[in-house]
Amino acid sequence: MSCHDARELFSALLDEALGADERPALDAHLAGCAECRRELERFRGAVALVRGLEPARAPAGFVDRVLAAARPLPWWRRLARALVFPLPVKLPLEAAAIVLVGVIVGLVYRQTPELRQAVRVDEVTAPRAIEPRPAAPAPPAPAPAREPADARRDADAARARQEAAAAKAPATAPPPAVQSYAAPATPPAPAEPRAGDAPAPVAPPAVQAPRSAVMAKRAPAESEAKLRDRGDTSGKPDTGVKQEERVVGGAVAETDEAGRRVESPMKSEGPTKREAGAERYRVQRAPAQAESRARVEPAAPPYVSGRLVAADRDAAERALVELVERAGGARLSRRADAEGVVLEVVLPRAAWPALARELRRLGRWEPTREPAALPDPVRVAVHIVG
Amino acid sequence: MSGDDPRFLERLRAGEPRAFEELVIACQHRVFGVALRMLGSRAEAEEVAQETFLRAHRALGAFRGEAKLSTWLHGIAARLCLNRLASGERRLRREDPEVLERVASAGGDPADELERSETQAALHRAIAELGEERRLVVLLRDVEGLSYEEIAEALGLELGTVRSRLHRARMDLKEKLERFLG
Repeated sequence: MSCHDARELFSALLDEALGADERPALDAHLAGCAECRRELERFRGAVALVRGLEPARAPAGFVDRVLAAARPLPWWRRLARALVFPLPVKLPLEAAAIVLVGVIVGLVYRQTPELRQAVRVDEVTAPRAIEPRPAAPAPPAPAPAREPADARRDADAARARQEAAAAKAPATAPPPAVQSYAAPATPPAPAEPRAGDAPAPVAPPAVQAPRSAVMAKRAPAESEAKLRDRGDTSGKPDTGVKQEERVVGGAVAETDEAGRRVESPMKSEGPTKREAGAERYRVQRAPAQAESRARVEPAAPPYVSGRLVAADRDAAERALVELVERAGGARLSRRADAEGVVLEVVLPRAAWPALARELRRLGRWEPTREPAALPDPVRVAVHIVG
Repeated sequence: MSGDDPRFLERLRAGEPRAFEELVIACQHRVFGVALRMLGSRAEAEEVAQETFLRAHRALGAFRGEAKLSTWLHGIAARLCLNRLASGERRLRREDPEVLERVASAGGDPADELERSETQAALHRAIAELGEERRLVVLLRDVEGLSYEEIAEALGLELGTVRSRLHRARMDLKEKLERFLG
């Protein structure tokens, strides 16, 4: 046995794991090899040092921590772990959440310009409410008796909306009286408050934008049903009043929403940026928007309406348009019916008293609705009859 | 705890909390010691030791009792240590061998500790410098006192491999500790 072979057996010798034939051979070699004996002693010493190591001790509280960790979890934590912890479930859930957030952000982003556009357009064009309504048959009765019931309902609804807006948003400052489209030549005439009327500010037309946006999303069938309701009740004033009560309720709700809108930055910049005239808004109007507005606008009647009985209907119409344009306003729409023509115009609030005086000169002006507090700009529907 | 006590094994398999507690109390220092000397960090050693008992707790129902409980636990701890050492994410927070020595010999006579400090520091350093597989075998054999067969079973090795690794580890230690061996 060589020294190398003998030293390879040192570990087995120490552990008493030598084979039956290995031990005598190793003993014989060690008996004759002093160097291997010294090497064996050093080997024994090294192993003795290792075996002399004191055992390590686990830190205090180790057992308690192990037992606490081994305790079964409550059912809800097991469920949460089962749902959340496995990567095959967790990763798709997280991915779906990210996608969902992205979709929502995208939708909101896409919706915002529409809402803003709707606010701008509906501020001026709400009087188109009358357009989709079927023309009422013209009975041969005298003028006061022939006053359309829906016009009265419109008046009631709008008055209720204005009162609600005034009550809900009293702190809202009214828009500036002077606007860029007000004709410089027209002296700003003060409003004529009715005795007993509170000088409460009126919510500007923009407050109707949220309602427009919301209603535009509703099913067309619903809007058509409302239109049908209106058509059915056009000849029954009593029923019509009940119908309007429902609408008025809606108006209160939307005014509440409007109260918040009034304080929003978008609204606050409305009056100052409303520098372009009504013509500009008409140009901007898209067909789809016009369609959606047609469903919406029945609930947004003009602020002032009335009948103008004139000897020369065409002349009265021309004169009226001229007066409005001279006052810085614009014609919004013109619709002919069996009695005559319905003109819808918009003009600065300050110019309305002067226009009212001019209307009385043009013929017999019979206002059906003229609230004391008017928004700026004010929309006026004039039914010119011959 | 008696690892070979059939009644104790039965209690463990039945999930009796008290039996598991006895197992942890009996084996905590040995499992922790192997992990500490393999990883060189008390924090990591505690994590591995705790995980060892938790895995054992989950697998106790399937434990057939063919090996001693302590051997089984050493096998789990050894695999966890080797996995952690092989992991690239392992944080390098090995502690100084002298710190390990103080941890290991805490509670001893301070005078003796001072006398032995140099040898002990050299010993811990020499063990720490061994290759992981050799270190594991020599710890299980010369510190934990497992037999060749138990080491082979715990580590899933051939008996000849255990014997070879153990001898190489001891020879390495002898070389490193030459000046302390007279």
